[in-house]
Amino acid sequence: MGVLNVNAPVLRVEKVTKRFGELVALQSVNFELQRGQNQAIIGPNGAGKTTLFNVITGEFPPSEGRVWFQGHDITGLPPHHIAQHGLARSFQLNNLFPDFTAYDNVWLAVQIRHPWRESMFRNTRRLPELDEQVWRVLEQVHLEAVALQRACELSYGDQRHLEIGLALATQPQLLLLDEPTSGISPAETQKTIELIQSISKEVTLLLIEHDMDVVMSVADRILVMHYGSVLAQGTPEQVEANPEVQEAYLGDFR
Amino acid sequence: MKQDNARRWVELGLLALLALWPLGTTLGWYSPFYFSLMTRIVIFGVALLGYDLAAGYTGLVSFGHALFIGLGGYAAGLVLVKLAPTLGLDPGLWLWLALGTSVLVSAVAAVVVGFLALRTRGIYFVFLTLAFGQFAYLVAWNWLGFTGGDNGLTGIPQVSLALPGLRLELSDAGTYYYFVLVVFALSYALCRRVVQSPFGRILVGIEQNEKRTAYLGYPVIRYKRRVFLLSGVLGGLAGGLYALLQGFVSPDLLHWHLSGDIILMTWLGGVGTLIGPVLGGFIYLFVGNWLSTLFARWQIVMGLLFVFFVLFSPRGMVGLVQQGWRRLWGSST
Repeated sequence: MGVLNVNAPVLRVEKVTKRFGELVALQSVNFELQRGQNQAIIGPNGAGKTTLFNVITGEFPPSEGRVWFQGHDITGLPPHHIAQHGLARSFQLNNLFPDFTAYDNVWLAVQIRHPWRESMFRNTRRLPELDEQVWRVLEQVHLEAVALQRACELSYGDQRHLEIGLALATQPQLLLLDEPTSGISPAETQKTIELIQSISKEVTLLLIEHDMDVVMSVADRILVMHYGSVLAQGTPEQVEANPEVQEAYLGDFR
Repeated sequence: MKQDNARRWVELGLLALLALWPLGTTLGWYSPFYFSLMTRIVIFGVALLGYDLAAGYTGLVSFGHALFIGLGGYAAGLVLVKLAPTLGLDPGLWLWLALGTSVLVSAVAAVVVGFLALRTRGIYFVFLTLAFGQFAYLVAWNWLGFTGGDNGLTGIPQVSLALPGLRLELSDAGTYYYFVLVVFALSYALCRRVVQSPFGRILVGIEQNEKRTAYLGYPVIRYKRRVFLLSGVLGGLAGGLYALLQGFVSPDLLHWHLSGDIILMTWLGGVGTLIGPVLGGFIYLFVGNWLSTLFARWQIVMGLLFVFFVLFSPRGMVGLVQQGWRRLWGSST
């Protein structure tokens, strides 16, 4: 897939509304994302950013509207199906395999791209090409040194990197990062920014982020959400200059 | 790697011990009772291996594993009592017919129960599997004309094992023991292979974090169904072997008591280790039997032992050994 649709936007979210009972979490959200264009989603807590991620990745279907990935309608498909298409996500709260080593965490993610991923009889110890790929990912997210430690024993910052590494290791076309720097110390944030910048050269990113340093350093476009609606979208300069945005959101930081 | 080698030696050692077990009877060290008890333990070992794949590796803790053991038992028994004599087959083929039916029937049951129960998780899964098991138990108990009801199904004929150029009389206790041991060893090799395979990795991934496994792109339910099928089939095979050993099948083989025993054995020995549950089965049945000759309230000891392991070693006896090993040889895993 994808071959026929190289010109289609990598992601198109079309009038997506999500209601939980009386609560409207998303109100007719519209946006597009071109290949190679990194977009940040910002907005105050409760604006619907993670809900939007959940709708895109299949956690739950939208109440209305459609989601297109590389020209294919993925609305309402289950998460594993969407992930197989090449749309990966990381989570705001670490969502790892706690008793696996960092190495084994990444292994399971790398395995999904292999033809014998569900073989019952092949010995995993004898798959050197996979081993190589696992180390490449570990290197990329700076975890080689702690590769053989269990995920639950890693420092919080390393766990955040592993969280990204898991999504990255599935070799996605589009990577959704949900607050990759949340809970990380300012000193470590710089390391994470560098990591995200290096990833952004390989794969299209859509990230939710509060830290404006991170947003400004990687985002080509910004989408501002407020009470479940899109308040503004455009280049960082356009968004910064938008008076509504200044009032509703950026104003808080000045 | 070092641990792998160590495990290989433990496996071979235990297998050698099992292979030499009949020698003790020959030399008069223990009564033939302990010989047949050991046959039973090895048979339950096959079921425990299967249970561990689902419960230990995948986190699918069912409270109805007796369903597969019992169905496998009744399937083998009914085929031998009602069908085989009418077919005019070479009696040497009856064994394969009986065990084949055990496997088939338990496979169908695993597919059906898996389809319905694997949609649920946690306590709902426990209750559903328990309900299916008890349903089968009540059918076996009440369907007098077919299953023999609470008297059980009696009169299962002795069978022989026919292979090209070889014929073994399984009515001989020693021969049957070795037959069972071979089935067990093959089942163990299969399970070990499976847990080391890419599929096995997915299973543990599901146990560790089902949601993330799905988000990596794995259709989780498919793998759950597959492992449940494998687990059920091994249970059915064990049931068939058990029916042939006993010469009758009672509804007890379907009762939730047995499902509970399976859980106890698994956690006692070490869930998610393959060797552990089998070891747990040995302790529960063998030591339990020995204790019962000493005093009537022997289950108190078993209960305390179980409490001890649940509290202090979540991976049971095998976990305790592994901890000791690490302390002795450092943490070079």
